Amino acid sequence: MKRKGKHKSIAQKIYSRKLMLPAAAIYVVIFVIPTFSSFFFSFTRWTLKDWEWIGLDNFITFFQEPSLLIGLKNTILYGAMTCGLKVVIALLLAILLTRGWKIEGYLRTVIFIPTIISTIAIGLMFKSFMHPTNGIINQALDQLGIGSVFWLTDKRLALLSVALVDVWKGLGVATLIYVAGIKGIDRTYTEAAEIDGASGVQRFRYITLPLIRPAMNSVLILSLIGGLRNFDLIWVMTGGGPGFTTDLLTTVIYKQYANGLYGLSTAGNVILFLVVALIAFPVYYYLTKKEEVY
Amino acid sequence: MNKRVKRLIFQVIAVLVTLVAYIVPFYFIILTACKNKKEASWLNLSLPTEWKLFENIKEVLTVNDGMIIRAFFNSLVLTVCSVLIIVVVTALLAFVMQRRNDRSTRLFSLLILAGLIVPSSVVPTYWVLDFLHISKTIVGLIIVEVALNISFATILYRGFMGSIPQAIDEAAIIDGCGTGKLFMKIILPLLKPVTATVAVVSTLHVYNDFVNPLYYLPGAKNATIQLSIYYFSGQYGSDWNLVFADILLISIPVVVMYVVFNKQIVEGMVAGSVKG
Amino acid sequence: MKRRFYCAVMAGVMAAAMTGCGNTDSSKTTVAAGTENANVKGGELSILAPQNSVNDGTYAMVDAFEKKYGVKVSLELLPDNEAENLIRSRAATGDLGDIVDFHSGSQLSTLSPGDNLMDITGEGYLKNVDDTFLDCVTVDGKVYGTPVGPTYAGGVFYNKKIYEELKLEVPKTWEEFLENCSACQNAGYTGIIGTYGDAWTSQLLLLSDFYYLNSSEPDFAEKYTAGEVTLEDAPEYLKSLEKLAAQKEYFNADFLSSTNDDGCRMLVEGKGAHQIMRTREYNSMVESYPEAEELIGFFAVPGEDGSDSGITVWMPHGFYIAKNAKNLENAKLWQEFTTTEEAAKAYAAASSPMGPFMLKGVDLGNNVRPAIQEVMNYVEGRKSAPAMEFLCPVKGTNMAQICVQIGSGEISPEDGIKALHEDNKKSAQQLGLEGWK
Repeated sequence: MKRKGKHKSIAQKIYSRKLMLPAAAIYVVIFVIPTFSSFFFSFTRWTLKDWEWIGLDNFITFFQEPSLLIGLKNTILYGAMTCGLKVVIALLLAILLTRGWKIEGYLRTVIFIPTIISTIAIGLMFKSFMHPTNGIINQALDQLGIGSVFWLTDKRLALLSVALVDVWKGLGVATLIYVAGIKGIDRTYTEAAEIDGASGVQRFRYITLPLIRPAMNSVLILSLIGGLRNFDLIWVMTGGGPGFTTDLLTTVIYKQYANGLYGLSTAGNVILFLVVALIAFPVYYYLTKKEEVY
Repeated sequence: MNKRVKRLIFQVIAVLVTLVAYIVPFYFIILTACKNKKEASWLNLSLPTEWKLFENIKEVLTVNDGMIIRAFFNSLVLTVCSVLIIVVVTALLAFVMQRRNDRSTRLFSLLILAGLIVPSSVVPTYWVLDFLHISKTIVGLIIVEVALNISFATILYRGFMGSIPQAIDEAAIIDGCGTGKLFMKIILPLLKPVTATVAVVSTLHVYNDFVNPLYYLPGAKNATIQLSIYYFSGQYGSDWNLVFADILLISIPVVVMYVVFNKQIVEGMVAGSVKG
Repeated sequence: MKRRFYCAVMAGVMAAAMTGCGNTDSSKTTVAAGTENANVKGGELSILAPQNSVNDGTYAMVDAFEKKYGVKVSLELLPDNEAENLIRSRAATGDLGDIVDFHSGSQLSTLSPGDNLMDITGEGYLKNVDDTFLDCVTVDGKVYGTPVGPTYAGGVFYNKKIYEELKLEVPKTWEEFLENCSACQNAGYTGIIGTYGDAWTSQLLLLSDFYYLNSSEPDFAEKYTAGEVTLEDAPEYLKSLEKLAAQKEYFNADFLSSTNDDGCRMLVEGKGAHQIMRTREYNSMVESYPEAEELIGFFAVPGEDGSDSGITVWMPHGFYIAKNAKNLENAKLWQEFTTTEEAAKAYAAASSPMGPFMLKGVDLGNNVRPAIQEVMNYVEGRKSAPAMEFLCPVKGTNMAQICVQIGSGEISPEDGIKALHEDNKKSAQQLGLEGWK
């Protein structure tokens, strides 16, 4: 134990590493160890019981997947779309929810409804809503004189349609995080600024926005990683189709897994991890640097 | 005057937009839950010709010998235990990690971030549980659920820890507080909004998780509640009326929880301010 | 404080839930003491099955079994999309219970039967089982399973009313079929109902057409398994893909989003004339639309020249015994029971069969739906072949998606056949098949 100033050793005592133990133990033993040890199997042909070392063959096969490039492109697009939309829209909603309006209670409940329903149910529901002829969305558009839109089968639209549903569902939690952040800001700051003559927009820009940085960063990183790794919603709504047009890395990997190609799908997971890490780690680093610690 | 009218218009627009975006889907769920199988399979907003809500609910409750009730109980136990542990354990972790910003904690935070990215692998996890003699037990499943939620919970807690000035800690320490008192009496109350958020989101994660219980706690009597949806919806065809009646039933506890926490979030928070 | 409050609420809810907790036993047993003493074995049996494999017929068999032998059966159902993954994981961790319901044919190999399932070669009750099925549950020379129910067949289901109205006749060649479709289109009906919203349906035409490939080259499946030929070496295979591509002209506008359910509704309501599917989907359709029983007819996918026509038959899943089954005796008893006429009759009484049973000497009489009767005629006339996946363990992961691409015109049949072969290669290598490495 290094001997630092009297101040430091008190800090070390107060913020004892022992407090980290329960969480760290569970996390490392039950998650880190199995998951990273499974990476070993990416170098094998694995039947879950037997394995046969094949070196980098799985990785080579994975890179030869016909839908790999599409999957990669879609994954990044999807992550960017959902993250961007959630960060912005949720913030706007959170602002609406913290102005002390009368409809606040109603709004908060309503926005949260999608979160309560399981992803599968939501996926199925919107898949039926988006049906070109029977779906209620197109029927409504029909009434308005606009023609049918092929939400889930038009190559250019399909990914966006699913992203919109993802955002619809995710706004509940994202807004919740923002609201927690906003409510945590001391009233006195904003009041002081108001007294000093700052307008609403100025108060927002110079007081609120900086102080909810932690909330925004949380929303950003969680929705970015969540978006890059999304599987359930796309699988239910399009299954990666039609054909391979909405395949994501996760759906490519899942299809391999579902057909018993365990070594190959694990190799895919390793690659997915690298891709997401390459995007997420720099973003996280950048964000936490900017986070002020008083 | 102008301001008030503007505000009113805003509110009206908000209500209308949310009506379409949120109420309509919800209305769809309830409507389909009231139909018979054939009409439900059309998956549209037509009104049912026969109102079968109670029959559908009854069928859902009695399928497979009332499996749903057992599943409900299982899910509840699993969710409550997991969430309690998650909240306690990650709050402590994030507290130390944020305050004690040295190399070990920074390294660990990268590990936590990795946890969001990497999917867990079932069979090796099972082997670890087996090694610890807790495989196929509810304890094992709870620990797995906790492990899977540590990442996101820690990130949330850590972020908010950053907005609690260290000056407060120092003041408390000078006043003679030890770690326990500092954490329980000072920090934790200030984290109420985040705790509420973490609790709500973890509850949703664990409650809605149907895959992990299937892998780590097999057996018909251990079924969890999300599984019941699949009884009515298969690869080759679904009884949509039963699916949505089931969804309604399943959602009730979550709605209850949300209503309860909503108050906590609103009340607990404004008092969360600081400076003294 | 929050935690205490949360706890209190949850405790209250839990208490409420517990009082609602009635009989937590999933058994439906009535052990009638003293009635069938000789047969009462007692004990338990666990069956693990994917949800889509179990229907009223299965429950009827379970009931009959429980009553006959006094065994308490617990049936664990798994959600369809996860069922295979789960069963394979459970096999790896040794948690299959006693009996597991899983695919026969090519997919059986993915369960590593040698490691996980009990070898039942030589058991007496296998005498009752049709040889074609036995071949499908044999891996490396060892037999593992008994059938879970009837077989089902694929072909063209058509709306008889439209045929009457347009004075059409059951086509004998593929050309005639397309002409019929044209006639329907001109009259304002959809020629062929496409349901690619459920991607797996895209394969059905290709798979149902296998009869012709099998007739012209009976040993193709074997050679393909051994890696001696590619798909392109069988001209019939390309022809099947060309048929697949030819459909597009006659499809409904929303064929990419329509589900099988949507398609059935269109067929019954008379919006479309033909739908290519299997008797399994037909049975589902009749449940929702009872009028379909008389309204919808069946004929095999027509061949090129009309000299021959036949259907493709899908084998049912198999009931397999886990290698570490605790109730081994009851498990074997269950397998035996499923091979008896008694079980088949119990099944058929509760769930109208979608095809003939793979059991010798089981006669269903005339108690089947008209379309199914047509199927039986083909089978009895030896105009049927098992689907390729039951003759050859190689089936790639992306067949459905590739078929969607061919059927929607995105890729040509020539490119499609290459893609399918490449796809199959990955699976073959995973299985460690010689000749594919």
